[in-house]
Amino acid sequence: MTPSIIELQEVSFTYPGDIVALNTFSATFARGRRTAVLGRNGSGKTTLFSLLNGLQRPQKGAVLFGGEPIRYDRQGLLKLRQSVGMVFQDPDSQLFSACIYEDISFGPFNIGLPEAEVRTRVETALQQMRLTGLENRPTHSLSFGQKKRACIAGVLAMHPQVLVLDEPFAGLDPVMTAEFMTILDELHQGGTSLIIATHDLDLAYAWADDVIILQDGRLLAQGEALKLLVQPLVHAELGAAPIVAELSSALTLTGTGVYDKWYQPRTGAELVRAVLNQNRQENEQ
Amino acid sequence: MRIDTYAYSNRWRQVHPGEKGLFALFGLTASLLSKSPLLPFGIAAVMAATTILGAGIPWREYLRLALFPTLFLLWSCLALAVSFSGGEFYLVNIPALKATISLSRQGIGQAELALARSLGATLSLLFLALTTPMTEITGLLRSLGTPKLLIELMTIAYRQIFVFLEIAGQIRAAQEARLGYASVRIAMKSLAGLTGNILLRSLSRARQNHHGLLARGYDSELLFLSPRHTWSLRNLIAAVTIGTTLNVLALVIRP
Ligand SMILES: Nc1ncnc2c1ncn2[C@@H]1O[C@H](COP(=O)(O)OP(=O)(O)O)[C@@H](O)[C@H]1O
Ligand SMILES: [Mg+2]
Repeated sequence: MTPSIIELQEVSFTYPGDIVALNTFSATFARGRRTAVLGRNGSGKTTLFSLLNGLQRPQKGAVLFGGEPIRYDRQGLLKLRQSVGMVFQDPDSQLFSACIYEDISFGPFNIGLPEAEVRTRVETALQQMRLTGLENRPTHSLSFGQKKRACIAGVLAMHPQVLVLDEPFAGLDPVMTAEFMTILDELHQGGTSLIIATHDLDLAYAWADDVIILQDGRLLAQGEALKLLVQPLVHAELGAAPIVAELSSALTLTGTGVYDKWYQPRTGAELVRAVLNQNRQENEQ
Repeated sequence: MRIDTYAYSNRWRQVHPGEKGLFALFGLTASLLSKSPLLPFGIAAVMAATTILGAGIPWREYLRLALFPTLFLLWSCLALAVSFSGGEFYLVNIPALKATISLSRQGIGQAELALARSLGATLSLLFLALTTPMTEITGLLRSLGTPKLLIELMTIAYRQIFVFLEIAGQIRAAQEARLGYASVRIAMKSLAGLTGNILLRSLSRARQNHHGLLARGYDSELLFLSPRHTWSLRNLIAAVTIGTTLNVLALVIRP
């Protein structure tokens, strides 16, 4: 088991007006892993994320970062927010300046870095998010996907250990989604722990190492994506199962074994490859 | 938001905002300092020519944008020229009010000077507005030591204008799609709904924006860096030479 980077212990969070968003919720996010947080609308994903970098403070329970309880004083929060980068669902709530260069420089400047270092980081983040050349365009003329990338650049420039993204694929077309996945994979390879909220089971199945499933502010299940997402209880709560998993088991029932001891297809393309492989092996025999 | 579009796409977009700012500032001070109406009219012409020929703003658009402030200035200056206490050029007599309306020579002179000065100043600022994006103007003001609070307000307000327009546009489109503006009565109701809705959305957006800033370590001061621009010696010399000449002329020329 990889060590945890963020841990929630019996956390409860209630909004004014007695709206319970999280109820004695416990979960662990592993260091260096890709975790997908799943749950229906209103199940508490966004609220959970706002606890992860100290935007909200739970009324009960504790949030631990790197094994230590979060300190909610100025210094503690600044350190936490540098380590846990948060990308909001709506880019307009994050981009405060009409100039993305200014926007991206905001985070690193707040950490107290010197100007030269801030400029280098802004340039790097622009490149990393494929935004070079767009920094002279006003924010309101950028496409949704470009704004979204600008938001991530603004967080990456702070060099966070954990990147938390709230429904990063909502509103993106398939091409942009694929591009986005590539960028996330690069970050993952670089050692950043990634946490995303999503409704998309197929995407979680294809991408995530671990999943955490919420149900009405409680933890329904937590575990490895490939094992957990095929469980009937997940199917019952989320109203669907990953299509690749369903197809795979159907194929297995009809005698085309696509599961291997160590291999389980996670995407449509992988499944097709596995089936073709299987056929070839049978023909050779 | 046409001004905004040109500010980002004109030929002089990459010119250092300081150079453009300096040029506009010189035009502004020379216009205001001048004691004869001739010079400010000249400055207005120079500014218009620079904006159209230099920065490449289409002249029709320029006229459209300049027309409104010019008409406004004309009307206000007309009021300066009019006198109720007997001027040299008699216009009308209103017996009921026991008043005569006339133009006085002195008033006309004053009006002419005021018109010239404000026109010169207005077109100087229009030059800056059409060639330099708002964020760069803010950056310029910031490097000149404008109070931080003002800069923060300008930065956020400018961005929010567009977010606000988008929200308003969305709600309006949604209403229109359901025939919300089919008759005047329904339109009034829809408009009321639009206003209320915008208010509510603005409030929740304000909270989200605050969270957005906090999440990146915001601590009571909006810290950020503007992109760097390179000064061009040639432009700088041109701006300073023309600007100084204008200002010297303004001080020297007597009416
Ligand atoms: N700012 C808020 N004020 C009051 N209630 C809220 C607020 N934000 C979310 N809630 C409520 O908290 C619950 C969880 O919401 P949220 O965390 O946004 O879920 P999700 O992101 O999974 O859709 C919902 O019942 C929602 O109505
Ligand atoms: Mg949400």
